[in-house]
Amino acid sequence: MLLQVENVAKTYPTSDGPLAVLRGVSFQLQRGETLALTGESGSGKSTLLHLIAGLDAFDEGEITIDGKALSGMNDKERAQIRRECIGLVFQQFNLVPSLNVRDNLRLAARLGRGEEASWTAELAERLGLEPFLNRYPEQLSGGQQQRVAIGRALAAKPILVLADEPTGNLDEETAADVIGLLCELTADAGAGLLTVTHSERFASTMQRRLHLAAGQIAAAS
Amino acid sequence: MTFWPALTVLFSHWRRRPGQLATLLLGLSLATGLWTGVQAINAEAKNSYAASAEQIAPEQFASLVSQDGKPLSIADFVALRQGGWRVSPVLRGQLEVGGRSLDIIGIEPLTTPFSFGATDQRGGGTPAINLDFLSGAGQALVNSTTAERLVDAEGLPPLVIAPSVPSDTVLVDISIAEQLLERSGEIDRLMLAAEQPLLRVPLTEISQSLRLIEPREPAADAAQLTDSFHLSLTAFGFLSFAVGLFIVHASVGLAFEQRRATFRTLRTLGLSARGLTGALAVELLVLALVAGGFGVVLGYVIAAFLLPDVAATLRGLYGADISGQPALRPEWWARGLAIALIGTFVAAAGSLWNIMRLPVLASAQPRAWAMQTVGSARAQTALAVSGLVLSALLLAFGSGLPSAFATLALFLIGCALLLPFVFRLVLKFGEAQARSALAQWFWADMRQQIRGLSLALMALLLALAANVGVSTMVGSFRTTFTGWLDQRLVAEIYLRVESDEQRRAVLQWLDGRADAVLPIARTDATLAGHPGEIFAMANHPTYREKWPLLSARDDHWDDLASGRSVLINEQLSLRAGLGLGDAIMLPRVGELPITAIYSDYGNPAVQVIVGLDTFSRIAPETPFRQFALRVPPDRVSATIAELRAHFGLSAEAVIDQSGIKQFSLRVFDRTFLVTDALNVLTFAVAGLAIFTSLLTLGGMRLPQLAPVWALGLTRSQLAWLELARALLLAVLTAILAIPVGLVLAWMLLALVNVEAFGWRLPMLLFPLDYLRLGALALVAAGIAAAIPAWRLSRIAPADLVKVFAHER
Repeated sequence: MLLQVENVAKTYPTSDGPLAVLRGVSFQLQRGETLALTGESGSGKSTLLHLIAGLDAFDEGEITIDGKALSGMNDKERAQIRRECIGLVFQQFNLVPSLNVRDNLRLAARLGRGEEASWTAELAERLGLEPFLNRYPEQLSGGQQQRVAIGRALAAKPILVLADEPTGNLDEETAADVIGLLCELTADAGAGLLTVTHSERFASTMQRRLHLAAGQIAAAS
Repeated sequence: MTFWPALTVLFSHWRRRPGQLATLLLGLSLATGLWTGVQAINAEAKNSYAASAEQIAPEQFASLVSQDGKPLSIADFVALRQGGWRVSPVLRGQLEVGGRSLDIIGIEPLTTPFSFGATDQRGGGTPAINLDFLSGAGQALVNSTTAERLVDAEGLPPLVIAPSVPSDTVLVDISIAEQLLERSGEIDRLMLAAEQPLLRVPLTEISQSLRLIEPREPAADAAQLTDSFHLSLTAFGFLSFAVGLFIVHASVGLAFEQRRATFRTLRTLGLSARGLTGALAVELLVLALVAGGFGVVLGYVIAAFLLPDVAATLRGLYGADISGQPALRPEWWARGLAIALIGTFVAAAGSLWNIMRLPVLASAQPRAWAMQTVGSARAQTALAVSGLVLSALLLAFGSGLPSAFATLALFLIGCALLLPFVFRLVLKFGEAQARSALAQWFWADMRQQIRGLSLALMALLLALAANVGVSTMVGSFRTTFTGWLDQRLVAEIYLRVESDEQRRAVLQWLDGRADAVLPIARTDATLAGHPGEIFAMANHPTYREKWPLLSARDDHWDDLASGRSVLINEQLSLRAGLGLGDAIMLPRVGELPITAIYSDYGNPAVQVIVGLDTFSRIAPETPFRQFALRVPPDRVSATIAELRAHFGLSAEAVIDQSGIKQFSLRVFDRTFLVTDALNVLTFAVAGLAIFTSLLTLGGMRLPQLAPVWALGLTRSQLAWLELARALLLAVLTAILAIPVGLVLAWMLLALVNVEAFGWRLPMLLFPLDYLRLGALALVAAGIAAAIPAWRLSRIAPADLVKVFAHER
């Protein structure tokens, strides 16, 4: 089992009292499987993604990635899981503005298990980034930046790719292009893909779909 | 291994922003440079004091001399030794060798208290005495400088290098000195060993004609006296360092804020918080070492540039000699780099702490750096008020120089910390008065901007206040000093004769040619436990009308002339706590009451003035060979020319009053060149701080400016408004700096000066100087704001639109 989420709950303190964002969410994801998390704004999907990535701590339940339980891990161990097992793609791309495309692509691999130059080159070629390798993020369009973000997420050969609204900032045509590339490359890498999206079109391309409402799984297909 | 990739990412920021890197390095280099420069000057001066303390001089030991100033005899020496006194003879005189006047000191090496064979701090010293020194042609101990000058000189014994012997001085056996000086069987003084047998025969039983002279400790005095000067230099250096750290704080804070998104990305990619903090610490370490290295070299340049002026100051104010050029010593590097590291980490501590605690999911939007929360603003105001209250308490109850400096430092820090609060009040008032929407936005936006600019404005306030304070102090000093010179140098001509015969001839010649001939004489003495001097003053209306008295009793001039009282200088009054009516013990004449206290600016020593007859009783061996001449102003030049022609007197022997005044003012001005230079440097650093802050804030202010642009203001209008804001802030800071600077000046004059120099000066105001300084601040702020404003006027509309697209 690549990812197992069991009864995960998360509450945030607010001025009006505690706010339960996730209430006993459970699901699984296998290697090579793709899963879309959908739901209204505030339904808790991005929070769930952050908890799986080890970016935040959950209050109850357990999340296991490749047999490793996150609940007992400290900051250093969770960071190691992100480096070695997870690839992250964000809506805002989150590229390092002071690094060019080539170095942004290599960054995750260098932080993780080490860079495989041939794989990085293949990613650059398949993502159509070869002409832009020496450019900086500010010199790229939104679609190009998201391609770099996808390449960076996959450069370390993660077993789980987590994408948070990866097409949210892109036009329809570019979004379709990016979706295609993300699914294709994830499948080739044999990784599982969990994506948060509002896009029906994107969600329909995934093998499975979970709909979150008020912090709970309202529907699964 | 996550460390190196993370470090590469961090350094890539600087590669993309070389201007920001240069500002950070420049700020830190300047801060380190000014600090190490001042420290180097202090170290060089202290080395000089130590070296001079180790130099051989008969005056460093208590000695016996004859009452009448005549030489002692071998018989006196023998009688004292037989009486159990551990004394050693010295014969001393001047000798012309190879066209150079040498100070010949003859000693008796077996009994002398000089320590031979000792090694000084510089690896030199005085070689151990051997038989060659005593026998045959003997040896002449000289330092290497004198030895170089005497390479071809004849008539001296073989030269042996002894670094502890002062320049132009030759140390020989007393028998050699007798031959060289042609004074066989004579002794000038008998040096007393520090430890004397308890059971020795009382001096009065051995001889009635001997007089004890206390040892002079010029080096110790110099070190003690100049401590205050070095402390003030250190304070200036620290002020510059602190102002420099504002730049570092601003640059580092900005760089951290700009990279918040990068930090978040690195964390999401698997870098732990500790790993990120470690990488940032290493980044800072590298930057601090590079800037520290530049700073040390800069410090050396500053020290080399300022040292001659510092030497002039120390000579002018304290009579202490320092010499030499600073050297780039290993401890300099170590200290300079250490202070750069400490400074960097102090300046960056807050930012590092924030990053360490930054949640991975924290907003990646760069905040305006150094933004204050309401809570921290209140805490700062409370801290400012505490500082001011503490300063007031120290002012009321503290004493001594450290307390004076602490009062001053707390006051300055309190005022600087209070600045944002005062600005908020002023700007709020401006906003309330605004009528148009644009004016209202202008004031409100400026209030918002204060948060980011407060550090730089505090630096500017400190620099301006220091400038106002120090220039008021120096200006007051100069004006008072000039007036004092007019009072003190009342005679038209000052004359010095070489011998008693010349004196008789000159006085005879002057009879009928001068309105008055007023004798002057001085002798060294210990006054109320302090080494000082006694002056003789003639009874004449010249002095009665003009002498610069601070306080006096009735009939003090008559009492002085008749030998019933004395006048003392302000230094003696303050150091010994003596006032009018108190008595002071003088050699041979006993206690005499004090009936007047006079100002004596620029004199490092304590002083007593007595009447001519009293002086003759105190120092009968000291002849009157200096005279103040009163002549009609139109006769001054002619009289000087005739005196020189008639008696072959040198230019130094006959000086007209204006010459002395010019010389004194030249010395004075040179004395304060060092404070001027440090003032300018501190101001430059503050200017740079403003520039850095405005430049870096410029990029971050787009979210505030873009909506106003969208509402219909042109980029050029926005740029002009930005410029106007900077100028208004500079004007407000300058206006606030003037009262702060004036209080600082008062503290310098009434507290620090009294503790450090021993005299109090009246405080005078120089409004034109303050106006000039305000204009300078305006120009500096204008230059600093011009580039960001120009950039804003040229910014691409697309960049402003991005603000609305949330892509920033």
